[in-house]
Amino acid sequence: MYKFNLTSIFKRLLPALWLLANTCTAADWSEVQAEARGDTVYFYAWGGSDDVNRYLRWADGELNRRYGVRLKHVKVPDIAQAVQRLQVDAQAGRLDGGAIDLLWVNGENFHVLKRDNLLLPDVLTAVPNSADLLHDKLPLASDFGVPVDGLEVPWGIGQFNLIARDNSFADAAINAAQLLDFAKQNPGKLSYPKPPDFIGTTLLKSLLLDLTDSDPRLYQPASETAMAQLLPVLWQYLDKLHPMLWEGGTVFAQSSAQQLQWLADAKLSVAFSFNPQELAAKVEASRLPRNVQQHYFSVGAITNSHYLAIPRNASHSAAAKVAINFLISEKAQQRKADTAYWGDPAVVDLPEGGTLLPSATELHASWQNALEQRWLQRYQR
Amino acid sequence: MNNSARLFTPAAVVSVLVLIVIPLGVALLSFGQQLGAVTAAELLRFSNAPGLVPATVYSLALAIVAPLLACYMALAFSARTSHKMSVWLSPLLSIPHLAFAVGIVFLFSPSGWLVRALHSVSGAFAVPPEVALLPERSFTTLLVVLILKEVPFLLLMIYSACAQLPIARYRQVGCSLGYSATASWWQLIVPELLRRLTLPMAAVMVYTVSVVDIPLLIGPNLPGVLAQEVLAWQRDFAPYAGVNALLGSALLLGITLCLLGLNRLHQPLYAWALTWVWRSGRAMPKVLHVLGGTAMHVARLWLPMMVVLSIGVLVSLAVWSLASGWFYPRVLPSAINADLWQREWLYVQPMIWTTLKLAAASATIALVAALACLEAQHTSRRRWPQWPMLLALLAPQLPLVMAWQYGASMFQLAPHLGWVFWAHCVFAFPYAYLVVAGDYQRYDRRWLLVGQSLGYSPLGCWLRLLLPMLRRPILYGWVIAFSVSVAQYVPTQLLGAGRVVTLTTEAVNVSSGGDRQLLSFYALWQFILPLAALLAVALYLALVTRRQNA
Repeated sequence: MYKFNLTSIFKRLLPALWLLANTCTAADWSEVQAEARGDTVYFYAWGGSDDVNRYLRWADGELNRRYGVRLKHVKVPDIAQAVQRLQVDAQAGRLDGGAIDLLWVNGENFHVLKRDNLLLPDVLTAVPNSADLLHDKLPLASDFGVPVDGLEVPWGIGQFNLIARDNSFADAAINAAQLLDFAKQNPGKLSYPKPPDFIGTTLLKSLLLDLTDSDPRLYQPASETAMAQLLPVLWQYLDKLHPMLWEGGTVFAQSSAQQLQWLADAKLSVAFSFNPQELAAKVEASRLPRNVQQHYFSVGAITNSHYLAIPRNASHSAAAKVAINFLISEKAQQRKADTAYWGDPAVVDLPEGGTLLPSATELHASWQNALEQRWLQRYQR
Repeated sequence: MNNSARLFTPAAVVSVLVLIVIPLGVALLSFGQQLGAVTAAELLRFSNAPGLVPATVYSLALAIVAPLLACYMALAFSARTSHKMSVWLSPLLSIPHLAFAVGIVFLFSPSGWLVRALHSVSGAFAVPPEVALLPERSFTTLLVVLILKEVPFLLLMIYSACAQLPIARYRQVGCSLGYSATASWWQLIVPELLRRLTLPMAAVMVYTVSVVDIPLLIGPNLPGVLAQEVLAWQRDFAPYAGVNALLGSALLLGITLCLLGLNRLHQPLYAWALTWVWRSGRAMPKVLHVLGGTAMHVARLWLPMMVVLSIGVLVSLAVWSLASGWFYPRVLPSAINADLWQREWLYVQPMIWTTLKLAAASATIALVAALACLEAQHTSRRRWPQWPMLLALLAPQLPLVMAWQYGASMFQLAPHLGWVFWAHCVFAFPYAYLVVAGDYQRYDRRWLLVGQSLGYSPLGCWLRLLLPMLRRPILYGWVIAFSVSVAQYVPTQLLGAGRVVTLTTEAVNVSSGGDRQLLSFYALWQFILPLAALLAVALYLALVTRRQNA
């Protein structure tokens, strides 16, 4: 006899509800696509990488062919320029008709955009392909320790790693002590991008994790007492390291790009990167010599994601959503992960996904500014 | 009031309003308002900002030493050469600053071309040496690059000033008083020249204080020069960083004003020193004599040196744009191919057109406005103070443009080529004015009276006599304004918002990745346009001179 069972009803209802919800979004989505057709998305993104620029040209062609949407890459030397534009718009009261439709952003810039309420909400749930994102495997829900809250859609993964020349280190995993030893034996062959460059700051974070055995307080807001107790060990280390650096630590590389150039020029033995496949991609493109090896800190490669977001006052938000949906599709992610094109790790499951390095979680966001400010106060006089 | 005044005065009023009063008034108002809101605590915090003192010292030292050295090098060089040399200046004038810096560093740094060549010849330096002629980043490198880049502009200004002076008569007088050619140059002609160089020197000093992209690439950075630190604050979103950026801009402005004051003392000091030497009846100190002599000898090497340097820079840029896989210690890349050129050509083409259109149009407007202002000054028989005309050149560019951007947002104006064009006119105008003003104000007006007595209208005389007679400064004014427009990054990027892409915005945006190949490619294009314009003008002038002499 048929027995009334709440659980079984619920179990049957759930797929039905899910289907219903899905058809709803499908209908909504086709509306979004229809609205998007014929529009141009002005995509503000860092323009310093030839690989990325060419990848975005390809994406433009695909989007145009499939959805009638043009993707115009607005190259910027630093995405802070876009953040400033949105802030100026907000102060001047431009609530719509803004110049930026889509942004490539993460970290501090995202925090500012979120704090100032400048991003379009619920973008993550609005794009159907977000169902495929590897939320359970990758740290996608928080951007440098700040919850994403649906304001951003993950696009790729960054992992802090070292690119070294001529077998400078024996093992792939190295620690702070080995780096100092190397500096002592090879004075003038090391440097790092001057904080607040985010790669320079990430080196400081990695060293701090290593030197404090990944103290749990680094994952909490940086309090005065935590800083007083944890930072001195880093300063002692840097005081020993700096005299051994290039130019005795009186001048630093300005950016990781400059440092990579100096690595190719054999001026330095080590450069730093946030893309675990940068070495492979750059060697393939003949931008780095063949005798380079990848290393990472044995405490784990600090791992974070970079994202796509739509400003609240975007002029073409429907087209921007279509662009995002395409950029996180399997096809686009596959090409992005291929070192022949860009080599940026995927955020969706791929048949031939590259392997990631052993990872360490990002420190709490407040450590970023704390480290930068104190580094400047101590070393820039 | 004659009918030409009826034409020129309104044009001048419109020019001054649209190109000076409105753009700067808007910005200064908001700048002043923001400054007024700064508290004492914020000021204290700013004064304790890490590295503020050395950064300020760097900026001051750079802005005093580089222009002065460049000035005396240019003076020493012009003692012996005629302005026919100005064709040789064209390539030097038109190499973009950033590209020049990249090229110089690639030639002389410890891993540069020179060391690589030595390695391939002798086998020494298997690893790059600790020191070479110029370190990759240092104050010296920055200083050398800026001096080398500033000399050609000053030379051009000196040639134009020389054309207004009866140099030959000065030399005769000097000769009859028993001076050597060298002595009469330094003691009779240079004081006159310095007077005429006040404005160009002001422009060079202001540029040196405010330049950011070159220090970012090759300057010191612990700390860097003040402009660099201000940029860092502007890119930082910590709550105090905005205030620091504001105060930093104010400090930069203060430094600029001090320098302009010092600059005005330059010529009087030089003249005073000369008189003092004469009065005291003593011979020139031996040291100065020797120094002057050496300077002249070095100056003789200047032209060949600069030709070699610019060829070196150009060749290294060209080779880099064609290179594939070029690592130390190889003298040449492992492969040369035109892939990049083929691939990028499609994308560069529209940028070339945009750059060309903007530059030609804004240079023309800037020149017409400058001429209108100059003529209106003449008809009103009052010389306007010169510094307001150059305000757009003196004000820090980034806060200025951000104030305009704020205005555009407030009035819901969409980014448009028109705004970019207007901004280019604003920044090209002072240069056009600067180059033309000297000759224009010293133009012998009796020619116009002669023309009118022959029955031409005043406007007709202006068009048929004055313009052709002032052909040289006017055309150079146009071409310098053209190059200024080509080089504009901040206004194009911020007001164009990606809708207007020029060779310069592309070069700067792409160079943030440090890819020498791409940077060289775009830098070459950025170089070709002003060079073509300059060469065209130089050739045209040479042809006209020849026809007149024939």
